[in-house]
Amino acid sequence: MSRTAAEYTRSPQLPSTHFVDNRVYHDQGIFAEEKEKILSKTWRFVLHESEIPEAYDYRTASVADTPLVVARGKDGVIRSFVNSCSHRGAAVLRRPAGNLRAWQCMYHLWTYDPTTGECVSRPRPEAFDAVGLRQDACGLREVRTGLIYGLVFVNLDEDCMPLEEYIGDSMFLQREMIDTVEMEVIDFFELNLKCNWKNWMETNMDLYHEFMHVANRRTSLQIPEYYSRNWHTFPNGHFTVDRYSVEYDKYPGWENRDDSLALPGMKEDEFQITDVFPDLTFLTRGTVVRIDNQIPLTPTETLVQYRALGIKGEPEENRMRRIRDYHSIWGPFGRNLPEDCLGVTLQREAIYGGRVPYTYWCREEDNLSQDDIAARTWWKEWSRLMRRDQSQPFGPVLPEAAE
Amino acid sequence: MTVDRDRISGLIYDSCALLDEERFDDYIALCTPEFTYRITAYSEELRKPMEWMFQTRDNFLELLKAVETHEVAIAHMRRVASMIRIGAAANGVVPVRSTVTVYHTWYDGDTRLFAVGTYKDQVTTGGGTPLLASREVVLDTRRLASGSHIPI
Repeated sequence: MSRTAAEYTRSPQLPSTHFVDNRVYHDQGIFAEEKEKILSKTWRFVLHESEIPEAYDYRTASVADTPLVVARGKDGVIRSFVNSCSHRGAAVLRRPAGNLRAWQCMYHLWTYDPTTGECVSRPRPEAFDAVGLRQDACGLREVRTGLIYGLVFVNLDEDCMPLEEYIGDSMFLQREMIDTVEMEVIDFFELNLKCNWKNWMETNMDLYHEFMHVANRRTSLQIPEYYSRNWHTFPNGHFTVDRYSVEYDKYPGWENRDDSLALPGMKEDEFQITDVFPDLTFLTRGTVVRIDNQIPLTPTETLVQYRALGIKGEPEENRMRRIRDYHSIWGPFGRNLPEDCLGVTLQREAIYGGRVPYTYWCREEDNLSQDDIAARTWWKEWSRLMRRDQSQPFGPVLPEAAE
Repeated sequence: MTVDRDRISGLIYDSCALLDEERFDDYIALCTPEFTYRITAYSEELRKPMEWMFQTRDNFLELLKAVETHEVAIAHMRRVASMIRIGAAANGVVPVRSTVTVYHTWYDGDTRLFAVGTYKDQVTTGGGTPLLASREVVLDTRRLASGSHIPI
């Protein structure tokens, strides 16, 4: 039976944890507040340390609208600075990656030390000195930077908890495969998706959506073990799900994966997911790790970055097979990623106009794979930090977040 | 042997149109049995080349035929080859470079640029009919608006 307007707009008769008021996906005010309370206050993944292996290597990044440069100093330590000249604000580093012993802004030639962020020269400085703007007060702003399992995170909040405490035990299923042998990023691309960042994050915590994927229907969803895995949830909004073995040869043109390429602690055909609040996902298919992180641009536009991790120094033939495993499913021309893009595109089309009030995260299945416990865990943390109940985000303000 | 430049250009144009029209058997018929297909791009972020797809002829056809089983956008792509530059033949193989621009038109008629790149083709001319021996699509565009089951 269809629903009347009153029935349709009525708050669902479910626990408040089990549904979302869709305004959280497109409201400008909510988005601005997320940048302040979540995206600027939590540890955000920016790169894998292999992207800046040498002294003076750098990579640019963006966190909560803040342009950053993440660099390995001459002392080998990775630090992050705001990538904006202290003088007139221009971005100092213009290329996304490079190796420079001095960072010079092209606009007025102010120059900075990549190790310390210190301003080391200003052309004709006398006129600045005359008004008391000393060179030693013109350094770049440094941002808290942490390294765990080869993953580099930053936090714009100088009073944040330590990275290790933030991550906790959430990566217990992921750690062995990324931190046993030296890994490196073997592929990188971005999608500029016309969707809210949370919609993309949800695709990586919602295993019920996998019926959408033809490849998964053929290789995974017919396997009883697929449904009997457990989600594990952790403080700070993180979660991970147990592994299962994929039957790759059930898809036309695919072969089972080569066991010689299996990552440490994984069988070559196993699949495992870990999500780190707010925007980081590890998806590992036996031979290759995919890392998704997000740069929310507007409430309805998100830049998603995709990295593949492989074993550093491996033979070229193995490297290429690993990359092909990755792209066969997760590349922009792979079998699954276009379908995920389509899913969030259709959500945007229907929801963001503001006339579709609620969506559900209500499946209960003893925390098994297609239970929505992961999404509920994520939204619980969102609500705690925002002090807004995701089921009524413009309702009463929630009590102040407890650590 | 004289290289028929018009026929080689026609091959490049046909390869675009047949993928646009999703006539995959006809597309593969433009290829030699040893045909290989790659999509590559240079990563400014990683400072190294990347390979996003590699297919042999038969495997490529199998994947293309499987597209109809997938959930795909109600949209179509238009591949436009231009600036075709035909090199000197060597051992029966002619190197051909073309600029390719791909537009994505949604069901509502909204058209967006999908990607820009270069076709780097090896074309055989034996038997009088030019055929694709290999195609490497070198993408300039690395930040896409979506993925696609059908390659470029």
